[in-house]
Parts: sequence; C-alpha cells; structure tokens
Amino acid sequence: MNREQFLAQVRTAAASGRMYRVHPRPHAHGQYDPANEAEAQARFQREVINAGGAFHQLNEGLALRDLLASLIELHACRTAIVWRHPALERHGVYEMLDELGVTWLDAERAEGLVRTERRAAWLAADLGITAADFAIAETGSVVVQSRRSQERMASLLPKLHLAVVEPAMIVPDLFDLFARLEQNGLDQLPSNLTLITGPSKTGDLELRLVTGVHGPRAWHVALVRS
Amino acid sequence: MPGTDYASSEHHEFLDATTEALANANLQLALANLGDTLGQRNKDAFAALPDADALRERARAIKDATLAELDRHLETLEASVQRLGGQVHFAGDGGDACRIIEEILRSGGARRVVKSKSMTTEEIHLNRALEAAGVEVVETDFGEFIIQVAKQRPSHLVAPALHLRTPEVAQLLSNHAKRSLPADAEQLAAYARETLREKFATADVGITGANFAVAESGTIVLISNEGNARLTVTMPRVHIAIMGIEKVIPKLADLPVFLKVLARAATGQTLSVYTSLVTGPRREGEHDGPEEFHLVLLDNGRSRILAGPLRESLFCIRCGACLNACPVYRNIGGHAYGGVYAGPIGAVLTPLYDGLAENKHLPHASSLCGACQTACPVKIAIPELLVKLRGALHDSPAGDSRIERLAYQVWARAMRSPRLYRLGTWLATRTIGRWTRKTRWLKRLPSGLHGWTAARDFPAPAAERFRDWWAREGKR
Ligand code: SF4
Repeated sequence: MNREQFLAQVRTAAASGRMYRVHPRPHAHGQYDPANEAEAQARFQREVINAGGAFHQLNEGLALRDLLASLIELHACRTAIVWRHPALERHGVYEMLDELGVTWLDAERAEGLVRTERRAAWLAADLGITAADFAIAETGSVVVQSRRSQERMASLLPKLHLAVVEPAMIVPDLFDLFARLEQNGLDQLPSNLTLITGPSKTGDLELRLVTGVHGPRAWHVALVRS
Repeated sequence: MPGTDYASSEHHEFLDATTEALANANLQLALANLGDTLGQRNKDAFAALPDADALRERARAIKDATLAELDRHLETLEASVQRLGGQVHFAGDGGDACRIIEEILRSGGARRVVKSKSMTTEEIHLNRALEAAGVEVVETDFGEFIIQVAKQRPSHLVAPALHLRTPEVAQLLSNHAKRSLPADAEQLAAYARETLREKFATADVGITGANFAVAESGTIVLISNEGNARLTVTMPRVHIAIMGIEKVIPKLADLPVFLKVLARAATGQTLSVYTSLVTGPRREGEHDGPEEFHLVLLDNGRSRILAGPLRESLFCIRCGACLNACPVYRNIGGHAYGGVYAGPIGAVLTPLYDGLAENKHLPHASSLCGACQTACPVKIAIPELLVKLRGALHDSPAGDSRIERLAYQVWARAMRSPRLYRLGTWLATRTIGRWTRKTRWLKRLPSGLHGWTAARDFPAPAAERFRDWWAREGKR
C-alpha cells in the first residue's frame, strides 16, 4: 500500500465514521498556582522526594562542594560525565571535581579521545552531573535538553545522577513548561528533551520497586541559590 | 458492523484458558495484589489531582477531534518529521511494517537491534520477522526481557511479566546466564542491567514505539520508568519508531493534558520517571543520539475501526488501568484473552483486530460493572463497546446457537405480552419458587443450562409474585 492509498483510506474512514464521534464538552480546569516562589520550591522538594529522589537545598557553592564530597565518597566515584553549563561554571563544579580527585569528561575532553576510548569512558563513568533547563514544582521533575556538550548520557549512563537546579529554573506546573516551550518556538525544540522524575525504576517483578535497572540508581537534586 | 470478518468457527480456547488460569496457583498469587496496588494508586492519584475529571474530558475531546481529521494530522506529522531530516513510512498492515523495517535494517547492514517496550511491535510480530531475517533482536524493558527469555507473550500492557513470580524468573534468568542467580528482585534486575548494557553499546539500531506523536513539531514522545527507551534512542546509530496512526496529537500544547493523566492512571505516579520528547535525529555537534530517524505509521485495521461504531476504542493510550480495575482480568490474567491486548480493552480490540467469530467469548468476558471506564484516563465507554460487540455477534452467523435464539425469542415474546408474563411468573413461583422456599438459590440447573451453576448459584424465583403480594398487602 503506498502513501496515497494509505492516506485516502484514513480519509474515507474518518469521514464515514463521523456519526460515531462522542463530542465531549470539557469544562475549564485549573493548574498548580503557588502563591510565591517559596511555596513552589517547597512543593518541588516534596515531589522530588515522593519520586524517590534525594533533595538538597544549598545556599551557596561551598555547600555544593560538601555535598559532592560526600556523594563521591559514599558511592566511591572515580570518574564523571559532566555537562558544560553556565550554572555549573557559576558554582565552580569543575574545580571542585579536580580538587576531589575525580576524573571528569565533558564534550571537549571527549573529543580528544578516539571513538572507542570515548565510548568506554562514557560507559564506565560513576557519576553524571547536569544542570537543568527547567524544573517543575508540581511533579518534582528536572527537564534536560540535549545540545552539544549537554549530552543525554550524563543523566542516564552512570549509577548516580546529580542535577544542579537554580530557583529561576522552576516553573509551577507541567502546563507552564509547555507554555514556555511554545513561547520559545517549536523550531527551538532540541533533538531530545527529557523530563526526569526520580531514579530509574521498575516494578516488573511482582510489582516490587527496584531502582537503577537501566539508568541511575540514585537521583540527587541540588537546589542552589545563585 | 462494516468490514468485520465473521468467518464462523467454534473456539472454546478462551473457556479452557480461563479454567486453567483459575487453577494456576502461581498466577493467582501473582495477580492477588493488583487491585490493592496499581488499582488503588490510580484512584488515589486521580483523587489528589484537582479537576481530574475536566482533564480527562479534555483528553477525550482532543482524541475525538483529532480522529475526525486524522488524515490531515498524519500529513502534518509527515511534513514535520521530514523537515527535521527524518523519513516517514506508511504501513497498511503488519506485513508491510515488518518489510519496511527489514529493509531499513538491511540497507544499514544492521546485525543487532535493541528494542524498548512496544505493544505495536507485538501486534505485528516484528521480532519473529526480524529474527527470520537473521537479525538479533533484544528486548530491553526488564519485563519484556524476561518474557523474551521465557519465550512467552506479555500478559499486561505495562507490566508484561506480571504473571511470573520471582523464583520462576530466577530460574529462567539462571538458564540464560548459565550460572545460578538468586530469587531476589534486586539481583535479577542487576543481571539484566549488566547484560543489556553490553547490547545497547553494540546495537546498530534502536526500535521504539511511540506513546504520542506531535504533528506540528514532528516530536515522538517516549515514556518509561526504567530508562531503557532513553538508552534505545541514545546509543544506536539509527532510531526506528513505529506507531499506530491513532497516536498522533495535533499540538505540543495537547501533550501535557495526556501526560497529566497517563502516569496517574497507570501507576499512580505524577509522571513516569522518564518522559522524552524526541524531535528528529541528533543535531550538528551533538555526541549522542541517533544519526538517522525513521517513523513507521501503521494502519493494520485502525482505519476500519475508525469508520465504525467502535471508533472510541482508538482513544486508548495503553495505560493498563482498565486491566488493573477489572475483576475478570484480576482473576484470569492476560494470557487467557488470547490476543496481544488483554483485559477489558483487549476484549474490545482483539475481536476487532483478529476477528469477532474467532474471539466470540471476549465480548462476554465482562460483568459490565464499569470499573474499567471509571479507571480509564480517557473515559472510554468500554462496557458500551462490549455491548455493541455482543450485538454484532448476535447478528452474525457465528452468534448464538439455535437453542439460545429460540430461548431469547420465547423470552422476548413473553416480555411483550402482559398475559404471557403473568402466566410465566405464576408458573415460576408455583413450581421452582415453592420448591426452593428454604434455600432461595438454585445450586444446579438442568443440563444445557448448568454452565450457569458450575461456578455459582442461581437466584431462585420468589415463592410469591409481587403482584399477588401487592394485591393482598397494598389494600391494607
Ligand atoms: S482503555 Fe483506557 S484504561 Fe484501558 S488501557 Fe486504554 S486508556 Fe488505559
């Protein structure tokens, strides 16, 4: 069946089954609308924890260093995949990793490796560090968009993912995220945009929750004031 | 109903399968908690969502309006995907779809394919076709991986290995690993992670379904809790997505409406762990993601359903909530339904896809209690659809037996005539009603009808008719 026949068949069916439409009449519905920023942040925190994540409210870069140090020790991290992102620069993440003795890989460093070595290094990384493009208070989600030097892998391959979020990234409701995306223009959509809401999970064995089946087993969100 | 295949044949597989399922102790244990866990979480999640009903109604409205102009939205989707550098393929049926995908694999010289869970690929038996073509196909969803190792079929829309218990899975995966694995969910999942990572790293092509496709932007939406769908579109060089034509939604702004209700209905989560919007192949300078993107649009009977009275079944977003809510599913599990889709929606879809005559028990595999419709995020009137199918079955040569027909004719006649009705009720109370005055229940109906009483009692008629009681007591 070619394209024209295919579409013609659908067209005829859509028209001839007209009388079987159900014509629902939805009434208006609201969305999460916090009174102020503090309330939105509190909701975000609650939902991150509900989703099985660990939440850290940090006042400045120094506290982030302590968090990194303890995560790295706890999970015995030796290597990391790191995004290049202004927020990570601002909080001095790259210097901290150097200080803490972690070998880290960003896009630029990866380009210095031959293809096979690069793959192996990515697959072996213990820790992934990303910033976020948005965060959603209502659902506790961190939104990451793929770009050069903001790889999909960073939040996916390692057993531990740390997302560094700033208050300005938080939108109240899922609908607000999509309104923002529309505002930015459809042609600005990246090749991959992912809403992350918790550590990798499965319930496939007797509906019992197991984390880390494919992606990160531990998911940490650090809300850092800039 | 137009176009439905009524080739008459007698099938009692469903009845045999239910009897077996009810006697299968492991299956019964596996199903035992479904209502208290997923079923309850669905109710709690919707109760906690303000204006949940308005959202569900809106999701319905979007589906209804989209289907009315489905061809136009498909053309928009095609243009958007092409603009991004992707290729769109049109598959009239499952055979077409398998051939198209085989051809993409062949032209790229692919040897190994990783797949994330897709009921659409189950529907067209893609794995069988690709394996016959000499390609290694690896299912990567943990449940699907187990099912593939076990050489079985999924038994639930979102939890494909729901019918298996941990010790059985440990046995299966131990055979696969050629070493002994403990009956421990964590360790079995760790084995899957380790085995499948290797496959992801070396696969040439990733195949996914699509939960939604946004026409205006060419965006394919993939939802998973495990992250395997993300890996499938991150590591291999080529991404092929296959979707039923009903999955298209016109606008990006439509998407949050569905996202808000889908995970809540399926598992009670506000969102599943990973919701990915995939918009074309990787861009210049990016280090991961596929270099090539193909979208396969599948009809496979959907336009036939679109033209008919069961059109509403195309609203389904495959969340599995109706299965969890259904007292029949919770007793017999997914395999007894015989088709790719199980549970209440399977009882609608399987006769539509695979023929009503071959699946004539399915429309009756429901007490029409309505729990499915209540749980459904798009409020599909499943009981009503099942009744329509029963009607179609009744009108078809494969329908009721001659005796049933005769019985219904007698019944209809008596119900239309006050005199006959009076006589009938008088006879019933005088005979059966009086004989069973003490027990009030019939434990066994005579042969021919004893199917009714094989597993439950039948309420006996009263010993006195209401009209007689009223004639006496109403005057006082
Ligand atoms: S019919 Fe409704 S409840 Fe059942 S799987 Fe489809 S969307 Fe979910």
